[in-house]
Amino acid sequence: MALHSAIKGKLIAVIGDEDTCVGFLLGGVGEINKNRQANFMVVDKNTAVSEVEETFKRFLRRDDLDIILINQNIADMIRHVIDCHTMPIPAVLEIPSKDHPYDASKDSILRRAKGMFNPEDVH
Amino acid sequence: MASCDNRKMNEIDVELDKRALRALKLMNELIASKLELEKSVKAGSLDLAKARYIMGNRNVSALQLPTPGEGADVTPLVTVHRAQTFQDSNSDTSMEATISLQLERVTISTPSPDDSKQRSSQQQALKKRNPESRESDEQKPLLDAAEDDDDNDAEEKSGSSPPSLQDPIKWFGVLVPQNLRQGQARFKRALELVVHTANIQLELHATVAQFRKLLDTKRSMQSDLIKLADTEQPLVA
Repeated sequence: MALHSAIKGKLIAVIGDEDTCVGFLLGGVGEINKNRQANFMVVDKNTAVSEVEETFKRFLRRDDLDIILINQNIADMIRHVIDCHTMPIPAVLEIPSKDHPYDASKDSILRRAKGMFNPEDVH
Repeated sequence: MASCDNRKMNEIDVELDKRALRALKLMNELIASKLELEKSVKAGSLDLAKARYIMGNRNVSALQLPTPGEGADVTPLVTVHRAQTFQDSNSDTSMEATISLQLERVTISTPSPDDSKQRSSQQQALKKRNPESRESDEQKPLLDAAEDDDDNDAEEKSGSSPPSLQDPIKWFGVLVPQNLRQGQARFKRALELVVHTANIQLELHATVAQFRKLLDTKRSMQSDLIKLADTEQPLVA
């Protein structure tokens, strides 16, 4: 199974607004596998936070994903779940969208890295 | 003994400084890369909006995306491959692996006239083969004939099922505006930036982990030195 996956290559998943999903799927990342599972989720104003959370957790459980792209404003909705994910793979990338510019102070990985320079930890 | 420990402590300090500097550099690179990604996504979204203006509001939306309920599977045209690079983490510890990702695209080959001719000749051959097999089957018992037919069907199915690769732009129609094609190109460029950003993030992750490991080693050495000093002092007194 592992060998098969290595040959096939791993996927990029997308959780984002309509334009982000349409754009990246136009780029060719979209997949619907034999189990009828898609590797993308379009989030609009009617989508419940629990639904986003559930999809994100399902993506984390899948072993054929290496990168999960998520709009930063959607990542803010499920920040506690993203902060709990400390493994390097799948890499969770918080990406900006056309409506919400990138804010480095909210990025989980940067906040974790900033912890290195915490005055209490500095030798 | 103490001088040896001091030398080790100094080495760890130097390694910690290196990791801290590297982390700062990577943080800067990560922010720059994400800002570049933002530009690319914004430009792509603008192209999608222009295409929407030409084609109609509902014709460039999530409605055109494939849904899991539909019959056909969707095969990805872009995947990532893992590669492990080894680097010296510390002078006295073993080599540590850093994962890096590489983008791989599947090229869609459009069928040429020669291919279609070849395919039609193959189909004719299949059509010719069937009557012969049926004639021969008539001589066999009925059960064997049924099995052979099943085998032939299975062979045909397996032969004519290459993974169907389709350019995603075809979800939006055959004659799509140039803006949609431009948008697609911009999002393809954005995907390259995504993989570049993911690689920076993975390296930053590894650097932070190494920094914390070294800091723990240093603290344990410091506590050992303090204990040693406490045990040596009464002996000297």
